[in-house]
Amino acid sequence: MYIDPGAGAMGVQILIAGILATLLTFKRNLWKILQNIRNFFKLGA
Amino acid sequence: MGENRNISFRDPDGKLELTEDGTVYRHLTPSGVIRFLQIRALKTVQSLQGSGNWIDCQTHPQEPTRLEHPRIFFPSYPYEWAQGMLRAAGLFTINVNRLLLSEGWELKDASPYNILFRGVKPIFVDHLSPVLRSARQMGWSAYGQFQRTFHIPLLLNHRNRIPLPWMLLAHRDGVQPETAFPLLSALGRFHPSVIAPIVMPTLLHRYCRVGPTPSFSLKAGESEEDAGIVTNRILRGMSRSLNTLAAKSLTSPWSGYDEVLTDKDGHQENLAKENFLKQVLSEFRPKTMLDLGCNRGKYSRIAALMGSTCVSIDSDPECIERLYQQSVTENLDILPLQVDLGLPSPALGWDNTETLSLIERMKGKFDLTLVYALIHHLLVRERIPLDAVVQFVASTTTGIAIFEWVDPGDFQFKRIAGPSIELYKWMTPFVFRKALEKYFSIERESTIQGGTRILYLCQRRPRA
Repeated sequence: MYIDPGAGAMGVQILIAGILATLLTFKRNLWKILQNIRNFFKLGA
Repeated sequence: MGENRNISFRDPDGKLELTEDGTVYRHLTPSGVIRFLQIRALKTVQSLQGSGNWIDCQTHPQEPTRLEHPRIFFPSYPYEWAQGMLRAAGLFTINVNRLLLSEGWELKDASPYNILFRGVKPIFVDHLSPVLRSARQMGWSAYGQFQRTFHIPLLLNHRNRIPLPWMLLAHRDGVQPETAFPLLSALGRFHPSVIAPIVMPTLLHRYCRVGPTPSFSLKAGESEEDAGIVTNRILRGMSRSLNTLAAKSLTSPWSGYDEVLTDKDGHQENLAKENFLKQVLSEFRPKTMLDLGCNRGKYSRIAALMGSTCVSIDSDPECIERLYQQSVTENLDILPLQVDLGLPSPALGWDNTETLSLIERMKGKFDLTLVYALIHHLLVRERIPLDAVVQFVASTTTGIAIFEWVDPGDFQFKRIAGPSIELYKWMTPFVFRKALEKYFSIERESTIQGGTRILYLCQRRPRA
């Protein structure tokens, strides 16, 4: 049988890294959206 | 005997050689020399070397391919460590990796064999472990090995009470998630602490394997900065989960022995043993002491406070864990090791050369060997002949040893021997003295506890 040591663990790490990277992008974009909203109201004022 | 030994040969860039006098040489290949120079220039390595947490390397201008490492007084291996020591070694590995990460490097492997302890201080000894990371790599290439060698053994020890030596003596490269999975109860498989290190890798391994190539490889992030943040987060998460695995309750049949001794006659016995040791320590000033059957290390602590470097051995993991915690808190020069003297650690690894046996490491290493309240355990539990025990103790010390004779009528002796106590009636002070005098000259003796125990200070006779 082919043994791929640590493959499962690496898979988990890739999943966690993926989630973290998505959250990071989301956080950045959310910040951008909030900034845009703020700028919009600033302009309005 | 008399030959140098290759103790590490897995890294193609540098092999380790151990000489008879304990000096360690690292022989580098030409590419290894370049890597060594790059690694030595890293700020992380320099600062860790400054704090004594990274092994020193001496270079010889005439021989650039040979490095000399200072000897560590008593090398110890993961299967002899207390739970707290393996955890500390794991946290230390992650910390080193996080520091390296800030310079664009990482550790290429995560093995507890890369760490040795000087007292309770971890030292990173694999100088060639750091490698340059690919710039946008998200995650750590040794993540899987870290989980196998540190996280999973600690988890199984913490949750299922599986002794660490059972796992680490049998598996040099740790415990695979697939091996750990069936050990978890059906409900236990849903516990948050085991999902990432054990359950998910097992399921991925079972159901997501495609073909003969490795199924998963690290992905690249959007930018270098992102990759750094994600990797750092993963490492932080790993240290957090390791931190939650602190030893649970610390009780065992022997961990309360000191409290038992504070009752009635026990208090006097304790005090007498303490005073006897203190007197010997102040008179002989031994630099190194081996405490066999140390229990919670009361006497090791006294010796460490008086300036001796101690190696303290007991088979009870709880006692060793407590001693480790106490030594860390009080910053004592004590190396606590969990070893069963009836079954001492063997030499392991390829060709039995990668680790040294416990007996080999102990031979002629100590100025003082302390054998308080141990011999009756070895006689009764392990059926070791008295002469063999004395000979073994004599092999460990170059100077003096302290023995305690325990009368077969003593409460503790009776408790261990049970109904077979009649078999040990021969253990009189006369027989005990005769056994000691084969290898030692008796310098002093002190009768304690109404004559049921005698302490002997012995000087090792020169070897024939």
